Amino acid sequence: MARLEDVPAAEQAAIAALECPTFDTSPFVSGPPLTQRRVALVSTAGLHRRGDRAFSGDASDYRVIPGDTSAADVVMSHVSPNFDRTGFQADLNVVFPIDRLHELATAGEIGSVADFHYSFMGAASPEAMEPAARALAQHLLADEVDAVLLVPI
Amino acid sequence: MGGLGHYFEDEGVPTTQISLVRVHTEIIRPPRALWVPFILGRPLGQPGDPEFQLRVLRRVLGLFDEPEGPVLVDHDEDADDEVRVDGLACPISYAPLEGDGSLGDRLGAEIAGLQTWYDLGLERTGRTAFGMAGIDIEVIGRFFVALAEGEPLVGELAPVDGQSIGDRLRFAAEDLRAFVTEAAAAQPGQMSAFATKAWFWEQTAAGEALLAAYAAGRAHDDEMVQLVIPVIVPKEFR
Repeated sequence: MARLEDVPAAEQAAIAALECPTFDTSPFVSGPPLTQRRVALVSTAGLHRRGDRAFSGDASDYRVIPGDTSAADVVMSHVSPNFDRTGFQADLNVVFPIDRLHELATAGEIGSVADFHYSFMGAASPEAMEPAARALAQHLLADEVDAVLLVPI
Repeated sequence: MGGLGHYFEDEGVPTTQISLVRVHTEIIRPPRALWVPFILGRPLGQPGDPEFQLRVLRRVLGLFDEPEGPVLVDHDEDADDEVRVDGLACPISYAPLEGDGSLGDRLGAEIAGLQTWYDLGLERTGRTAFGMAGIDIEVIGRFFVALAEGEPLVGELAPVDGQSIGDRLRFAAEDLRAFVTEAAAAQPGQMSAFATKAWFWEQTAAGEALLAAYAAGRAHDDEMVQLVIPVIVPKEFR
């Protein structure tokens, strides 16, 4: 339905023209079976707790979203006319599937759900996010997270 | 998104990701990625459909079982944008709140008419995307009308403490869209995401106000307004 060729031409050209980083290496970390993994969400939707600092237009840092944050208290300050927000307005899980992760944990399909989840704001370049991302990785390791699900917007 | 996967993995944290733009993922080559055929803004596909979302999650988390990477696979189940979803229903034949008055009068009447539906939606769902600008919806309406008509943005129209004019513009525009589309979603009927977008920009006074503000803002005295104003209107509706 919304593969790149289906979005409006003006938007399609802008998306296609976005510069993407390339890397000389391909790190690939193995781990235990999924049923034993501790899963954290990292979004680039510019999500944060209501009352936390909103993301500025070029923010490259992140916000922490505790796992027990109510859906009513998760807001989005990534502002762009180029992606749908009505899905987020109707159901947080279509952007930030925290309830679905808990269901998988209850069913024993994953080991557990991390206590903390995070969001960047996708308008920033990956290179600009690198320092904050590498620092955040240390928090994830300290929280014994061995499965990060990255969710774009 | 793929860049984050590379950085995390390089620090020893295993990652998997959803990909919305396959051509980008092919270039970045993150460790594990599931490309999904959904609209931008809906990485899990269908709001209000837990089983659909779980099928996406099982596919993307299942990539942790892959023995080596980078791995990029396609999700073969499309979302049905036309499916009626509770809480995502707005009427196809929604009557535009037109009038003979000024833009300010028509936008004010539209906001007043939608307020009861917005309140009902908030009561039912318990959440709203409205509120980022930190001001009332009526003030947001007056803000964009003033911008469109070249009036000074002073008093209640000026940014609140600690807020730049750029943030005021961005967040007020999203608040206006959230208020109108959440109110519409609380009404009987149904409308797809694409139809909702077209309806907002082509049939509502709110969309008309943002378009007029965009046109005026491009030549505004404040360079920050000129810089930020393009983000409030999609390219295809300018």
